[in-house]
Amino acid sequence: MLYLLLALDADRYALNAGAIVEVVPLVALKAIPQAPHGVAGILNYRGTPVPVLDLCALALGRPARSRLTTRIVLVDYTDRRGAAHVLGLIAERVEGTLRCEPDAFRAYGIDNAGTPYLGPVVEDAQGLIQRVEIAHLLPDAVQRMLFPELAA
Amino acid sequence: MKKAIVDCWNTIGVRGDLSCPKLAQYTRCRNCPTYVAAAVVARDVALPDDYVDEWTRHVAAPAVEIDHTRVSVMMFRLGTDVLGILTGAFKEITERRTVHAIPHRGAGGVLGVVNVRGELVVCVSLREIIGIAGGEPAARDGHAGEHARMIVVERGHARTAFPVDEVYGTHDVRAADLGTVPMTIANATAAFTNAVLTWRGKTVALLDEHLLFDALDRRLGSAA
Repeated sequence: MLYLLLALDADRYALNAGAIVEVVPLVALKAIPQAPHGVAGILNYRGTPVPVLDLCALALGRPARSRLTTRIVLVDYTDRRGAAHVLGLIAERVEGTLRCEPDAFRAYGIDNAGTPYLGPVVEDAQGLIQRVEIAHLLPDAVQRMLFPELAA
Repeated sequence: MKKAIVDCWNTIGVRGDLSCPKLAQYTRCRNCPTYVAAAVVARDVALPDDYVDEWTRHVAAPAVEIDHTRVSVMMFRLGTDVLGILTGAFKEITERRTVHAIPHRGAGGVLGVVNVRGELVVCVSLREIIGIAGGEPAARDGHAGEHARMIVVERGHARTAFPVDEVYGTHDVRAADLGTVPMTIANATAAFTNAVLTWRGKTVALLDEHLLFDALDRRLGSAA
């Protein structure tokens, strides 16, 4: 399988390329006042409003830097009721890809309840790469806010 | 602090003296991790303002669906008219051959029979069948132009040949570039045309092979 590589500070992370709709540069977003933690704003994606999550804000507590290598990765997201949405993820150093088998990723022995979206790890020549689990990015409360039909 | 880029590809790489030992493994610098790492450093710059504005508009605009379907058209010339037929409809192109007249079959567009690699094939005047004015390219005394060819079409197992003045070969055209036939065309060709396209500044009538084959069957009905 193919994975898209991105970085959070010094470490590298992998996103399943099969779930990616498109990768676009860091464009201007509509801010959401009092947005939940990690939600950067709303992207007008081909005329459809798409919620955008800043992975740096979510995991590191600081917004992603405004660089050419910082991009918005649009992914297919399935909410807890099984409905499909497009979700934007801001990530830094979205530069390369990794080809490896899904079962090459191994659990690393720490159960961090605060970051349920960070999955098992795989090793390559430059070190460890951790998989980002798209399905676990949004807590239920945030899902209800971003996709209001869930609250009904 | 931005790391300095060492442009080794210009000194020991493919743009330099090719002395880099990694070339044996990567063949070209663009496959080499050193080159990729330099690209990452080069792109690690702040976003220009107009870049953000332009991309914000671009991402917001509806996606344009481009029809990439392509069709292959065999183009040829009859006098001043450039015509096309779907490549799948024709069988082969041959040199001009002697047309042997068939007694009492001179009318109805039938020119005679030709020998195509040992097989006798009925030869017709495409001009007469689709109704284009002008003389037959195959002057009967044999003075055809040097580009003159004969196109053989096949429907079922029946082959038919017709002389043309020039064959331009097969060309891929985008299905989206095929236009509808203008209603104002007085030319009788319009009845056999299912699309027009512009090719090298000329308007090409794409013949409908089914209508053409039907017309051939009618003309040759008693001969078949």
